[in-house]
Amino acid sequence: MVIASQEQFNDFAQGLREPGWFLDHRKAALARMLAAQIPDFRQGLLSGISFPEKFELSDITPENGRHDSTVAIEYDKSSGVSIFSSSEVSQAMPAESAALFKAFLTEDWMHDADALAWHQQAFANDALFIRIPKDCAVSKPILITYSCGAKPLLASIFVLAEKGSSAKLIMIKKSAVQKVKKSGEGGRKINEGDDHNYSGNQSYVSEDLRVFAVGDNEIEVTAVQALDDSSVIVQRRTSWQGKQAAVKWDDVCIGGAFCRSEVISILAEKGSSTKSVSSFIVGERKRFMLSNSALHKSQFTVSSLLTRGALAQESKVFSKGLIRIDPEASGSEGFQKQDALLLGKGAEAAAMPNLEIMNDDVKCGHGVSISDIDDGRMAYLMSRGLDERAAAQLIVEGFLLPAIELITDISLRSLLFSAVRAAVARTGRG
Amino acid sequence: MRAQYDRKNKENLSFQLPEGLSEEIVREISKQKKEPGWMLAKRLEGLKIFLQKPLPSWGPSLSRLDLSRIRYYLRPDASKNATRWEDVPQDIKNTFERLGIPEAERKSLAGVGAQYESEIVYHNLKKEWEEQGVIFLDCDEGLKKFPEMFRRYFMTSCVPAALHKFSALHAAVWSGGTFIYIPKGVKLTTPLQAYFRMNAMRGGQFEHTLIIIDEGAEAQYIEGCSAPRYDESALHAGCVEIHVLKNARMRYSSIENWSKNTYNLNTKRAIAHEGAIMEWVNGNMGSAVTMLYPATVLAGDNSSTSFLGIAFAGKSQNQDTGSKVIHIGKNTSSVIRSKSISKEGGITSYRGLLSIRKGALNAKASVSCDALMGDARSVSNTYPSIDVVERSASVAHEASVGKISEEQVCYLRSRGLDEKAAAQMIVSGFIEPIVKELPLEYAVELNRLISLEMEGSIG
Repeated sequence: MVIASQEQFNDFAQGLREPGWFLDHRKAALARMLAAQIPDFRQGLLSGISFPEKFELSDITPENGRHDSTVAIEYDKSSGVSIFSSSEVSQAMPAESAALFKAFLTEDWMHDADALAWHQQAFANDALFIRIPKDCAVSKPILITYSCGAKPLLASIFVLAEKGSSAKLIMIKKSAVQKVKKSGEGGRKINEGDDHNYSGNQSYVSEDLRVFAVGDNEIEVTAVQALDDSSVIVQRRTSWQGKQAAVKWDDVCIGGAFCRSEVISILAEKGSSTKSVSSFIVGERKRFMLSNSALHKSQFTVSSLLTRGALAQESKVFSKGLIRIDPEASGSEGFQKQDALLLGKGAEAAAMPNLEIMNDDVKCGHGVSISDIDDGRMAYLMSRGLDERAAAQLIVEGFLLPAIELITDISLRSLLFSAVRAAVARTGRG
Repeated sequence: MRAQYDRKNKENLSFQLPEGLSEEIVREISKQKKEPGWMLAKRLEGLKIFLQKPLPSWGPSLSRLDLSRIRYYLRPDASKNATRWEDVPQDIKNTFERLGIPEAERKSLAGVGAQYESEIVYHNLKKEWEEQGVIFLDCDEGLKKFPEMFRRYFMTSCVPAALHKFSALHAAVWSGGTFIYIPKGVKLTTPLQAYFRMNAMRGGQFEHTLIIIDEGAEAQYIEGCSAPRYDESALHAGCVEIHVLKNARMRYSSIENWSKNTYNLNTKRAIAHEGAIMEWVNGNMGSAVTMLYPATVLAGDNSSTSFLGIAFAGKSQNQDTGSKVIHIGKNTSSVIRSKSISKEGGITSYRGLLSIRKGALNAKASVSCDALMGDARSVSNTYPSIDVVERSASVAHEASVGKISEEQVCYLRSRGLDEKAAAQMIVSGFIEPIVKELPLEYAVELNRLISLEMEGSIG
């Protein structure tokens, strides 16, 4: 089985008005996609994780290059940051920016790419190009909100952080039905789609975010995925980091029937570092696959990866971590930790924290813990007057604190807290 | 000291089959051994599965292993199964004397078996244990004398032939090995021991170890393995099956020191019934490629297991080892502790599986793996896989990778040790938790082997 055919691509490409070099990139990606295997998501585990039963892979290919999602962007225009939308990226981009943009299209970004990752490259139907100029410190976060419709959305976001720049990016993905509730938001709208009542059919959302931190940067990315419970989500974030560039990832997954979220930090030059926190709260029969990788390619690079979350009901989460230290990367340090709280009787957590170390002058470690809420802690809190549900809620919130404290936005925090409440309520406590 | 293991004898075989594998060869092995029909059927089934299954797509490359050139059955020229050491032919005796087998027996062991090529050449069991009903035989003889026990336990529930490609190969061509039965309530106070040796070029050794520890019994079994060095690859695809019945306890220790061109693709698996305890102590030193993951199935309630492993990979060696535990019963617990040392471009990988199945209430498991790297050319990988379906489980895993720290060496030197001695002391400290679980003579051997292998790599 293949995800999409050459014919589908021909139809798709007809409606595009893009420069030739970008179409060439799509064609090359299509060829790779056709040759690649469909991931089976089993990862050698006893009980694999699969795409939702009724979801057809053939449904993930957009027609005519269009989607019905809304993208809202808020940022301080006086900060020097420039943002180009899909149409601008393809048509009106200055030659200089186009040259920079091409740097995002090499295969260096495609670590461990499978058919879905190549599919995103070939069929992307929404793109944003964010340029943070040299030595620019952006104080107000750049906020991007996707209100996703029923049609497949394959969004690419390219962030170019020039030397010495720093910025914070917040990205929220939610379903259009939630957008109706929160209408009236300001901001610049691109690709205005039809507002519609969400049909409840499973929709496909794919996202590819690339951060090119040229050097001496401090970039923070907070991404919250709170889509409708029937959505199928495939997201992939990659950073390529130059000398002394620091990138912080804060990835929160709450929604979707199936969600695959990958974070890959390529520590390409001396002294670059990454801190990546992936957190999740999951219930019902949802399936999450989270992966967190740090590829140390140069000396004195540092990575710290944490995946942490709570599972209610019959949800399943597979989390994979990789720290790879190349022979050239002496003096590097890499740590990873994967923790899961099993709240549901039928929940399943699987972890695979891999290390591949090819240099001896390193410090590396990893840890995994999987358990239920500790009875002793529950007893303590209840002896202080909390009821069972409040006590469980407090423990889960405490468990997720590393993720929660990274989120400064109040509305995002409250989203996370309500997800915790829902997860605890589903366990039948209290 | 390595030379002691690498030394080879002239091949002195009374019977051997041509290279490669075919149905005729499998039938011939069974005929030579005068086996019952059901065993032949089992062998042929194994062959069928072996031919169907592909090579594993993960782990070290097996591309240099030419399965069509392996000699699958070699019988040494010795009156089979001598019980008196004097009856063993001189060249084989010299080999085992060099390796210290009779000496070890004289000292403290309850029984000793020695396998040369495909057949057991010597075995002995102290009389006091024999009188209590302990059985310590080579596997072929065990099959003849206790066919019912074999039908029930041999490659059935513990290691079925279809487990993977090399267990299927083993089922087809197995020969020799050890059969141990400890009757109900008998507690062996001294260990049983076997030693396996491959001498012939491009030989394959497929010994089968079947151990049944009956209810409430206890035993300890130690196994040593070696082979001389030839220019062409040899294959070792042994199989160890251990059934630890209700409230029984078993400790299985092995030091595998195959020559550095052997492919060691071994299968070790135990089933622990209610209240049973299974302990693995595993040392992997030699071989070109090792793929070995001793597994315990904690089938019964309140059963527990522990695994202590050390792997050493030097120049052009690839040690892919680890442990698997499957928790099924209630209140089960497991502890995995693995240590590895790599140097001169050697590759060590910890690959493990920890699975807590539905209904395995209150399971507790912990895994820790530590790696020490001797130089910047070596590689250390960790691929643990943890799968938990039971929320009352408590699972912890941790790992660390590092090199011999300059600070520690500096400290020891300030106390008067030279650099070499300091490094050796750090390595000894690193492997100490495993070494201390071994009987004294094995502990000494392992320590000496490792310090020898580490020689010249530091300082």
